[in-house]
Amino acid sequence: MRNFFNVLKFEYTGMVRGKGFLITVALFMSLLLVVASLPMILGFFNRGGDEEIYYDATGEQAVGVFYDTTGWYTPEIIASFSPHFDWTPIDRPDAIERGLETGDFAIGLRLAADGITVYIPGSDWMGAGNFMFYEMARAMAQAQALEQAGVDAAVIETALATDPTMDVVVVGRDGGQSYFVAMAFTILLMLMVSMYGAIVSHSVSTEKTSKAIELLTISTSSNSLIFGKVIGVGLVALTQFGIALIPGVLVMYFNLERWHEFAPMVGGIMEMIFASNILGMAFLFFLLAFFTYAFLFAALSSTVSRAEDLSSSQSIPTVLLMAAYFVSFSALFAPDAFHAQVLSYVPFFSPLVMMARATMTEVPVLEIALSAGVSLLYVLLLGFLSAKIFRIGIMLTGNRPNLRQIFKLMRQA
Amino acid sequence: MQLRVEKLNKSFGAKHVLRDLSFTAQSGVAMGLLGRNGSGKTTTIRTIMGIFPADSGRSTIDGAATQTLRKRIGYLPEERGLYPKRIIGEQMAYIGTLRGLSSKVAKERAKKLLVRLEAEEYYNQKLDTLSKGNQQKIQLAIALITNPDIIILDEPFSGLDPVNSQILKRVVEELVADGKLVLFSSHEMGYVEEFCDDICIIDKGQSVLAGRIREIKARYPRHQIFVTPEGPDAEELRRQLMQLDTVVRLTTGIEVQGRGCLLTLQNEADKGALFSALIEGRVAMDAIGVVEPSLEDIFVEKVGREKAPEENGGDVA
Repeated sequence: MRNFFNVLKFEYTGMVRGKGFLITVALFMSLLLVVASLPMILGFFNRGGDEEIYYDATGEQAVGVFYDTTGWYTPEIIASFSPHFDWTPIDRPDAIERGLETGDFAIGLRLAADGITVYIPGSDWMGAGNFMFYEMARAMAQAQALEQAGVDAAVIETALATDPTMDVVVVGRDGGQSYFVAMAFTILLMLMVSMYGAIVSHSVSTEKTSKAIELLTISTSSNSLIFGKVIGVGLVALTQFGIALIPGVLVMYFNLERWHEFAPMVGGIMEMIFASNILGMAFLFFLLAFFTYAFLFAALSSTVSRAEDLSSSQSIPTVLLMAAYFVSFSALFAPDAFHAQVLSYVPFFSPLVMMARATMTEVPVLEIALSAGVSLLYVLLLGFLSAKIFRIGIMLTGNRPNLRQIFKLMRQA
Repeated sequence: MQLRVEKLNKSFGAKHVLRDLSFTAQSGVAMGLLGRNGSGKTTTIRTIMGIFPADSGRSTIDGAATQTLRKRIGYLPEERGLYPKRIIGEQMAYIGTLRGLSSKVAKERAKKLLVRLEAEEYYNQKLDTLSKGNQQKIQLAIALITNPDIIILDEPFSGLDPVNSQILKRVVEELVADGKLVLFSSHEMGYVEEFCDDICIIDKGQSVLAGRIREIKARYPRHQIFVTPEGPDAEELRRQLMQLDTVVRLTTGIEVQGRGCLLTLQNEADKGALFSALIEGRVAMDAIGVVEPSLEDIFVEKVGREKAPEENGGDVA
């Protein structure tokens, strides 16, 4: 046990003293602090002004143009249906496309008796405004029909100006917010596991290729070496992200109100994270995912005797991690799907899938505990297996061995 | 303290690397494990260190399995290497703590050993800034950091320049004088002959010759005498010797060899008579001595006749 701590300390201090560690931490911490302080920073620059500091989502600058074949529409009618655009009539239909190409206006509208045609630039590939124009065209067509039926224009205007209020009451966990939280956590977890797993892999292969392994294995047990190394790197990851994240998160936590005003959605997401046990759960599943993959990285890089073979040894855990990521992504949309439920207990998948499910929906605590327990069990099994492979790594020289050769050597060792 | 290796056998796949290998080594004595490349020296040492298990046989120190006493053994592996990007003092202390020392003691010992090896200026440097020879000195210091009673050095002279070889030689001599058991493998006969008392020559995984060098050499005939002339002219010395009847009668040949003359006696027992004849004949000579076979001669005689394993396409871990 003493040597486990010696190895852990050696690995940990070696990495946290490195320039790379300090630069990364400083960079991320500064960036997050700036982002977390955005409402205060913008508020500071807006002191004394009455105007709103927020971005005007209505798009005042938007310029539209329309070509009317019906002779019914006037700029006033058009503007009354879409007050956020500055509509200009034109007399030639080909001017719409030309104007869009030259950037003279952002949107074009061709109005005919049988419907409307919306022209949008190619850069608006999502066609975000199409639904709004459809609604606008329908309202205008209804108004025209009513007017032709003899209804007084003032009545039509009053009727169409009626603005109903709509409130949305979310029952249970807000799916929209949960989706963003789960997606962000899944991506973060995958990035961290692959990044720090690669560090474990590099560390193991360095001991192998630099020939330090022989001296190490006669000095202490391979269990101490592998567990000390992997847990040491895990602590480095926590230290690095802790230092980088905590100041920014604290700034956000103590300025939640300002965030609610500044960006209600971000404020809501942060409130959801702070108010629930999601952070604790994400932390637990990060640890389980990290150790699962880190031990796999360690085991496979122990079989490498040349630095140039290291990347090929990383392909198996990387592919597994990507597969787990895509499954967990699908679990965001269908957290109770059969495959998501089953994979919540399958090695290499469970930490990511269960975390995605538990963030999206209310998974019973017992299921979460069972998934975490199963993960912990195979983390330990993988750890001991990895130590055993590390131990025989000294005998693995030349070309990478196949599984049969590895197991044969493990039996002999 | 006695290291005893008994009937060690080890195979890698179809390759039988060690075959019933046996030898013993004692405290206060340096023992050289000699053999050609691929003869099984490193496999023997790795088996003793428990890096991999023997198929059969055992190695013990005073009756206890060596694999259980690894922390009492200072070991310099053949494949040397540490952490290239870490500070030397840090990694020396790290290995020291893994081998049972406290961090403070490990650091103190590391500094002292570096002074002893004339490498103290490297304590705060990174390993990859050092030459290969100096890295080897660091490895030697690590092998000695726990002040072990048993020291096993695998090819310690390989890669060392003559100055560093002398430093290593001095350290090994001090260890032997301190009563340590020193076992080292080498195929550099000069160094082995210089300070080894015992040898074990391995060929194809088998011990072909083992024992005290002095006794081994004594088994060889001592019927050749080498005479070094007072002046530079060995041919003149030969002419002088040929004029002495007793000398001619006692020998079967007198040849110029290098800077002197080699006299081959008909009978080894006539050494004394020959020495007397040389003195009485007032031969102008600087030195006279019985010619012993060098360790290299013995080694070549024992293992040099057949191809080494790797020359047959073999490879030994």
